[in-house]
Amino acid sequence: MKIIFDRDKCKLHAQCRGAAPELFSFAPNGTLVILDENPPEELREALQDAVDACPEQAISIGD
Amino acid sequence: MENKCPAKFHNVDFCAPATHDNPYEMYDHFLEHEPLYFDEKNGVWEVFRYDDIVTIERDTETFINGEGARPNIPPDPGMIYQDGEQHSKQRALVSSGFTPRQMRKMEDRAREIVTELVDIMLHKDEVDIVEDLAAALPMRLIADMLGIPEEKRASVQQWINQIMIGGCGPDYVTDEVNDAFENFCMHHEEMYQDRISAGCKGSDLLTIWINAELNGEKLDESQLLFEHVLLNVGGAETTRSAIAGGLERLSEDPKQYHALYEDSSLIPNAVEEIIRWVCPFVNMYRTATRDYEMHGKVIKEGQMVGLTYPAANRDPRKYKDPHTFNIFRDFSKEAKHLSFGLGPHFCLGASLARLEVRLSLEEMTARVKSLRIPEGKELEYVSSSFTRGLKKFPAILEAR
Ligand code: HEM
Ligand code: SF4
Repeated sequence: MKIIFDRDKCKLHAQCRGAAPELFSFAPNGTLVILDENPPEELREALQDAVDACPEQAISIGD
Repeated sequence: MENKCPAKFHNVDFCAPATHDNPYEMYDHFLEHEPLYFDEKNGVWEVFRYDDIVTIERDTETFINGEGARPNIPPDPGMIYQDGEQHSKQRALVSSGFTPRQMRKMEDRAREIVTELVDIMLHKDEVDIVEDLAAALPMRLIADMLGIPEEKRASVQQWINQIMIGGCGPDYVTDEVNDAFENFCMHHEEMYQDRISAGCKGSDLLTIWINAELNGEKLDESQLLFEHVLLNVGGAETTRSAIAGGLERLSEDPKQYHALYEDSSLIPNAVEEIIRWVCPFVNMYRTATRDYEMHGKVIKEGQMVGLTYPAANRDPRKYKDPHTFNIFRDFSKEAKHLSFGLGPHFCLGASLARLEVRLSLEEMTARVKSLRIPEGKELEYVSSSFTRGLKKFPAILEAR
């Protein structure tokens, strides 16, 4: 499983971090950091929640 | 005849609670004729149309929360008064307790509570849907999440109801409101100290917040206090209005109520229609960081603008028969309601609120055949320019 992230769309709403703190965090300069680009299958549910939560549709799942 | 006389809506005081009692005729007037209105008395602007609210909520550089989200009331350290990066960080720290997964885990506990509340109601000749279900469920869930001791819960609810009244505007921040706030602060301090002396090992939300850390940053003590207030303010009265208001509509419309009993897969859409139709928050405010032109008028730098969510939820530009309560409404064809706001401040508790309304409908339709208001009794509403809703909903339930 792969996280596809479109940085141009991201407006730093942090909803993804709220849905999946294991996968998304912030760098000290405030930009979004993806903690694991290829997360294990157990985190699919968490990632799907983050995809659903992002108001900018900046995240998608590549299989 | 329809009341189209605009003179009726001159010098409207948007902070006055009574302004928003049965407000839809007034909202319709503004939606159609004056989509941007300057409230002279309070020196604030109001917008009504769906697209205007979306435009303002999205433009977070021009319209900020940092100068306040209630009319002429100064901001506090809570997340709702933060902007940009600071808001993202603070919201991320607080939201660990609100992931959709956390909510799915809460479902069992929430269902237990609803089942118990409905059990108790079915043993009574007459109930008050507000007190016995709609207010009890959100209060218990939040109190469980925060770990509020049983004996304190009734007082906390009273203080919060008082604090909400202050949200109408500076004229409504009375001594009672200040006393309630002080009492809440003492209660917070007690809970905080309890957790510190217990070594912060619990799994309650307050402990989660005390421990939460992001890039080495933590919530400071005043942020903790105001997130604690915000959670109670945001989560209790709003959800209560939604549950009570939804059941009131359905009690008036047995056909739609019965449809939910026949096919419970209709319930999630009914939840959205209830939240659109009830729209518990009257508005949130933003402050302009520059002069901004809209509908031929100028919102000046530093002025506040109120986003009248219940008007937008009935905007005929988006919704077919907007004043009709219709659980079959097709939100994908019309528009998502704005009751939870939009953009970075989109309600943190939306999943929890939806869960509570859904479980209430599931349990009620499965076990109660009909509900009606007893003869000689009446519905009572909270009059407010912040959170509106039912205060009393006397009912006689008929078990299935
Ligand atoms: C039907 C019930 C509810 C309604 C209608 C509602 C509505 C809203 C609205 C309109 C906002 C502001 C959005 C904006 O400015 O764009 C908001 C924010 C918020 N709500 Fe709710 N709410 C509800 C339930 C809850 C619950 C159950 C909780 C928590 C337990 C909660 C916690 C919050 C918090 C913490 C914020 C601030 C978020 C931020 O500033 O980032 N709400 N809510
Ligand atoms: S929710 Fe979407 S827009 Fe917000 S930080 Fe995450 S990816 Fe970016």
